[in-house]
Parts: sequence; C-alpha cells; structure tokens
Amino acid sequence: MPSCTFYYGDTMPIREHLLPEVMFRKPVIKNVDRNGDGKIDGYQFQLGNPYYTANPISSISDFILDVDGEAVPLEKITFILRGQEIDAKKAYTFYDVSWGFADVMEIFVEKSGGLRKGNHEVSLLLKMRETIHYGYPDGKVPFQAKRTMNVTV
Amino acid sequence: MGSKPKVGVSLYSYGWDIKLGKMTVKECVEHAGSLGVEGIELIDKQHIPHYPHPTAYDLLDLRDYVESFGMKVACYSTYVDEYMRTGQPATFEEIVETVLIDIAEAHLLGTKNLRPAMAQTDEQRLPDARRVMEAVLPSLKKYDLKWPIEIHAPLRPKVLLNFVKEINDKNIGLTPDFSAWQRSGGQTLNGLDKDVAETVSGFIGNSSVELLRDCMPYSYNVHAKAHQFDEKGEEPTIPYGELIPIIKKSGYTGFICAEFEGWMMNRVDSRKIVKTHVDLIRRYL
Repeated sequence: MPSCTFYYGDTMPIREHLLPEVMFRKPVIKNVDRNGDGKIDGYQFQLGNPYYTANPISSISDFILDVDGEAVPLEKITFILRGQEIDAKKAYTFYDVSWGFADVMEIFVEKSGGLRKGNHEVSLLLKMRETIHYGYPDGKVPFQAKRTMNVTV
Repeated sequence: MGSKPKVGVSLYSYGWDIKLGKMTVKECVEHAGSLGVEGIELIDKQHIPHYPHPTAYDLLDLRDYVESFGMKVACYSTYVDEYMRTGQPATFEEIVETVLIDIAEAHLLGTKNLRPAMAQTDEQRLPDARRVMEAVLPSLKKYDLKWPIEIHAPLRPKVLLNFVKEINDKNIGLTPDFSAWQRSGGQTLNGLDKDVAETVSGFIGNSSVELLRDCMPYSYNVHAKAHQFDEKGEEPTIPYGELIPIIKKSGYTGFICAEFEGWMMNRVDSRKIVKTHVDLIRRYL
C-alpha cells in the first residue's frame, strides 16, 4: 500500500497574512518595573498563540525576536502565562503547561531603562513542534509576523 | 429519533472569533442553538476549559449548557499528542492512558462519539492506531462510546473503510470528512479568492462520491467540511448536492456536523458563515 503522508504547506495552519493580528493582537509595548525599585527593568508585550489548537509551551522550539532590527538574545526573554514566569531558555521542558487556543501570553524582555517612547518594529519567527504527526520539515510549524508596536509609558 | 440525519455544528467553525477573543465557547454554543441544530461538536484543544486538565465540573457545566438549548454533544474530537515532551515521544502506555482519559471526558460530556486523532495524515500509522483502539475497546464498550476514525484527505476512503472492516467491531467506525471528496482545479476555483484556492489544493481528496455510499453503513459522524462559500451559499470545491443526498438515502441518522475551516485563510464573521453553512446542509437534506 503506498504511503500517503503530507504536510499542509509552509503557510498552514493559519495563513501568514493573518498572523500579525493573531500574534500581536494589541500593538502596544509597556516599559515595566518588575521588582518595584522604581527603575525600568525591561519591556513587555502580548503574544497570541498562532497554532490552530492549544499546544504545550515545550513545543516552542524556536523564538527569534528582533526589535528595531536588533536580535534579542533568548537569555533576556521570559514568557509569562497565567502569571507563571517561564525562562525562555527552559521553555522546552514545560510539556504540562498549555498555551491555550485563545491564550495571550506576556513576553518580558530584560532591558535596563526599557524602550524609548514611540514606534518600534517588532519581528518574530516562532516555530512550534507538531505534537501529532503532520509531516512538516523537522516536525516544526513556522509562524512569522512583524508589527509596528507603540511604547506609551 | 427521526429518520433523517441530524444537523450539527462543529465549534471548530468559530475558530477565528474564538482565537481573537471575540467569542467565548459558550457564546458559540448559544449561536449554534439559535440556528435550531441538534448538536455541536467539541474539540479538546480548542474548546475545553482548563485543557488539558479540565475538572469534572468544567465538563458537566459545558454539557448542561449545551443541553439547555435542546442539543447534544455530537462528538468529542480529541488529539492524541505524541510529541509533548522535547526529545522524548510518548510511550504506547502513555498514549493509551491519554485515550482512556478522553473516554472519561467524553462520558461526562454525554456524547456517544469520541474521535481521538491518530494517523490523521499518514496511512502508515494506521497499525499503531489499531493497537491503541484494541487496548481501549473494553472502555469504549463500558461507556457506550464509538470511535469513528476520520477519513480526512489525504487519507483515502477505501483504505479507511477496509481498516474498520478488518477490525470488525461495532465500537470502531468512520467519520467521513468532506475534504476526502473535495475537488480542486482552475475550473471550480475560477473567480474565487486565490489564497483560498492555493491553500485548498493541499487538502483535496478528490474521491469518487460512490465511496461515500460504501462508507455510510460504518459511519457514526460526518464532517461537512467547507473552506469558502460563493454568492449562492455553495461550497464551490465540494459537491454538497451529491454528498448530502447520498448520506440521506443511506438511512444514516447520526450527525452531519458543519465544519468550516476557512477561518485559517481569511477574516470571517463566524456567526454569518456558520448560518450559511447550516443552510447549505439543510438545502440538500
């Protein structure tokens, strides 16, 4: 019997032209003082789950963030999901924490003083491992989006 | 029970509005109820509160809500995730345990159909699915549940039909998904959104409609798939006018669930699109 495996294509499940809206639902970045010492420790924005279902945090295999043309090292990034803070470098171990279908997670980037007020270009290439077999190359589904985000505080 | 198939709505159809936080799962249930359909289909990884660890209360509360509109849960569609852990796929025992949990959840939701997605895109995985089916059969029987494996493109209806015939157990059956009968090509897609046309070409099964007739005696649920509608409310790539009458003539009395998947390709008004879809099914029923 011939095999009949396939994958949905580079732009599936959710089409690339919809991803800025799905991933960066609010084009807003906030500078934040996380430890309450009166100094800005970094900035934070919301990220919607681009997968077509819920998927575990461990399925985030690649998180390539670029702000104003500058790559952000993974060491500086924390995922905050339902108040739980997950070091982006350890995310691959969190198989029992689900990023829900409609869930928005906060992305915190450590940067002393934060970002200047005004517009910033945010670009993200996020890859998620398929948790059932669809046959994507390397078993990873890529999601790429760019959006102009505004810092108001 | 009537002699006609029942019309249902898969809440998958409301994907765009749920995804963007514009509709809650309960609002989707309420909308489906307002269309007078007899059931809704639930997807574990999209619609179940506190997934993957819902409480018994979550499930009973959702069931009560669905039933308050005179509807039933037509099918509980789950995914058997094998690659949750990085670098360490699930063992056979873990997969069986996952499906046993799905069985308990399906029972609490009050449905008769559980579709755990395994081998969804690869016929070579069917023997693995069979091992799992055989391991959970006693529990399926205990809770009076059917496992109707989905015939979704690129899986071929004939292969799945032979698969369930070989298993030869009333608790294992089929869910024909119209993607297996979907057609592509310039002729049917002329004048339609190019993006949609290109995407649909990855899904099409292009099977003979006769194969649906052969599958119906083994079917416990049907996915009336759609990606787009034209100005007349027809799905130009799927022959609803041929498929629905075949289902009706077969004597099938289970659910035909509207499953709109075009929300992954274009922004849509879910309420409007689900009504168009339900009207399309009813037109040929």
